[in-house]
Amino acid sequence: MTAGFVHPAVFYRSDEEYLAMLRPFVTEGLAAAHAVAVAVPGRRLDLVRDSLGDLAHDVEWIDMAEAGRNPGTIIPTVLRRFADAYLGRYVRIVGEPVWPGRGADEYPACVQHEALINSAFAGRDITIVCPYDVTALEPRQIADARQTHPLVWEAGERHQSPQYAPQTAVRRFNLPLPRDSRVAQFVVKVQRDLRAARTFVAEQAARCGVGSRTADLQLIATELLSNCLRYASGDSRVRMWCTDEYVVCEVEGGGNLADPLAGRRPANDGHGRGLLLVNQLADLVRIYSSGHGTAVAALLRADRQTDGET
Amino acid sequence: MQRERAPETGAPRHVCWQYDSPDEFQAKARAFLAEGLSRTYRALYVADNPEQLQADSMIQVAGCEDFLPSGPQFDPEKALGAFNLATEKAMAEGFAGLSVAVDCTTLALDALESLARFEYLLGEYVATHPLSALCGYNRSRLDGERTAQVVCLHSDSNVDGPGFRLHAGDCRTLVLSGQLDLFSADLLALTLRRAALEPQNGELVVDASALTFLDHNTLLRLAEYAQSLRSVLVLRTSWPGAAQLARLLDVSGVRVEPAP
Repeated sequence: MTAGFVHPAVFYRSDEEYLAMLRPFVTEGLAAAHAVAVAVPGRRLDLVRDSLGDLAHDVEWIDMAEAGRNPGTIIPTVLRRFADAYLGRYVRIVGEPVWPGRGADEYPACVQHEALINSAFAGRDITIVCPYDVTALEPRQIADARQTHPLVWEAGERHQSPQYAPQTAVRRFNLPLPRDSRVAQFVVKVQRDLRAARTFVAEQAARCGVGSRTADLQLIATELLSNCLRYASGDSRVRMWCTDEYVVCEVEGGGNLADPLAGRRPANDGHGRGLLLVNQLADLVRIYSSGHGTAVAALLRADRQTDGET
Repeated sequence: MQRERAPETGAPRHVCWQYDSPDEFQAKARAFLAEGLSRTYRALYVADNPEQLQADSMIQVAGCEDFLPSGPQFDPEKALGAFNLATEKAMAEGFAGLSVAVDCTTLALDALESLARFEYLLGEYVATHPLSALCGYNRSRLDGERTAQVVCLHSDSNVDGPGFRLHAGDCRTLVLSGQLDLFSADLLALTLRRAALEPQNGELVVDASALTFLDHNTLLRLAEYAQSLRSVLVLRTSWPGAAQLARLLDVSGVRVEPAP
């Protein structure tokens, strides 16, 4: 096994091709005493698990449709959580963050996540293979995968990706989240305004019919506004609106997010936890940096309850 | 302070009152002390010029020098001892307890740090003894920042101030209420240091039943504070965000329990 970080996109056209490429990746890893995890969406999880027989007991299984619903949490709470538990041992992970059915709002965050994996794991002894369903995904999505992965595995061949340019991918998908015309806004100038901002958030949560998630939304708004008050100059704004699918809480401030991996490192890394917490509380986070500042939009599924609630 | 007796519940017992004129504070003090008298408490008015309170045979008056002698040598423990003695004396003379209105403005100007420590101790005493106290602060002589440092140590006040309250509860717990965020972070740290809490059986139990928000930094700071006292932070609250934060932060030494 090559030392260092290996990050191929795996293009498959059928269940047979899926297993033909991924089953050996798992079994060879187990034979070499590597730590192996498979993080793919539900049905594919069963497919791989059923193909392994008793060997399945030696693999960690993670339903990516749940654990990776917010692409912003995949690096800290899926990939690094597993990899960091096996420091000193080679790690293999199958990670499938892009699947047919990912919403249009989610997709830019998925591509940025795939691109940022390269810097998040640079120099570490890990292979993360990312399967892409080339029959169900759009050709432009496969093209994006070639830009975010230095290697491509296809049936019968493995080669480098000439299109590999992860920083370009991060920039291309630095897109503002479209706002609803019924957006409500509250301006925060000083720390004392945080309390009134939370009252605004609670009122908007009730208006959107998601009162049960008021505490989550207040935490999100407060953490994001606190970052603005600490690090940015000028006023910041919290905006809320709802769509059929989500309630959105967006905070825009004058600062620039210099660190692209902010919010994507585990809590014990010694970095600020505010943005990580927002990633964990939300079902999707979209970050848009412009020359004028940064807007972080946290999207919470309207039909999803706070963890632990019935 | 051996004679511990549960105080009557109902009326606020440790109240901070910010006032604009001496007349205003005297009127408030008179009403506060009248409520004490109705519960057969002795009524005592303590101020720099106590004689300004209109003569009232039912209300005793004393100068600040007798209870809160101003100056950098002010000793919070000694001052508490004076109030304890007065409470004991009232009870020995047949009263159910002591109700006191005291103007703390001058002391807040001279020895704010020690006064804040005294306010915490007084709140602790009030929680477990038949003493009720109204503490007056003159708005025209104290800026908002200094006032906030004492407002937060009372269970009741006529000003919102820092947005949170920290005082002793009646079961040797710490009561923390209101909202805690970046705005309150420095004052909370200062107040915790001044309160010099003493955990029981390795646990710092916080009654946070009236807590309506805390951010992740505050939870981490509280956990660190408990850890510095070699204790586990037990946060009793029904605000759902606290349990969510503790779970996501996966911080050791913190237990969130439902408020009773």
